[in-house]
Amino acid sequence: MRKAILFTLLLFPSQIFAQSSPKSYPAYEMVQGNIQMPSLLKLQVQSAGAPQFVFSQFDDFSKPKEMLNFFQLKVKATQPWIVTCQAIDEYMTPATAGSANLPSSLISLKKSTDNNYVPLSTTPQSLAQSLSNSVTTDLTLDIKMNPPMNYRGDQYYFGIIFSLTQQ
Amino acid sequence: MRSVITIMFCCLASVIQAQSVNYDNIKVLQKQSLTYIFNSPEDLERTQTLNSALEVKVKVKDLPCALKAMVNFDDPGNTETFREKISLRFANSNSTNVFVPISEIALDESPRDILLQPMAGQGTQHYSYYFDVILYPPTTFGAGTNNTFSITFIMTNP
Repeated sequence: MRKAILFTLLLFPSQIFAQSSPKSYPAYEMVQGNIQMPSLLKLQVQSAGAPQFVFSQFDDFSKPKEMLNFFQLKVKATQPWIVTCQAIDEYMTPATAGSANLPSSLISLKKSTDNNYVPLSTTPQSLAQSLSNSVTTDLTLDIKMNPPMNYRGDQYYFGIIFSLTQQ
Repeated sequence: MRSVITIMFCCLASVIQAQSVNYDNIKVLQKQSLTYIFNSPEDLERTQTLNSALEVKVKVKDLPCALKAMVNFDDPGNTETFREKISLRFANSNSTNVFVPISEIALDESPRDILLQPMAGQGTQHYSYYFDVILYPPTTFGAGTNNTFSITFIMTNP
């Protein structure tokens, strides 16, 4: 009988503890979800019209013409990226009877925060790359044209391709 | 001796019953799959909302309870990209006295207070709370292509 009482006493604390359990938490429950995000890239280029350089006076040929903050680029990316530029053609296209060999490389571009211009070429030239892991990056670009010496007077057209690629 | 054995069985029954009650206090049902897909760059500019995607059912007995929630990613590297981008927005409930401090809570990897359910009379009460699950566009990259996450609801003392 003494053993039985001892055993009962041992059980009572357990019972007290157990009865307190329904009144106390925590309890938890978990659900799962999924986010599918492949590599995404988007480039928007804006400018106040097409860049125009006028060389009509002698003084115009003394130094390059520069248009600061001319292009505004907005990059959206989920991966490290690089922006390049390239000329559509090696030479500018004369409107009438101008020279057929006015090189597109007279035009050059740079990120507004950089110091050095990159001349246009028919191969992609690096302009900017991701410096952080921000999904959205805004950039502005400066454009410059060196004086076109020894070419016939005319109106010339040039084209620039901006590309955004994954690094 | 017979009475001692009887007491013993009573005690064991209490223990078993108590443990099962504790784990049945909360149940979360997915009313729709928690799947978010970024198909195009435009998706990086829009919020994706799954309305009333989750129903949280709780059983309250004699005590008020607080509900907290947190999110974890299987790949911890993805946590930074989606930290506080997944939100729970309280939609509705069958409780007439639930206290929701803020209707929408952005989740991270530590428990955030979602609601407080005061004690409502004697006996066991069953409540359901419905939540919209919202994914805001990430502002940083670094996550993988396939990101599995878990939302944990914790029922605790206020």
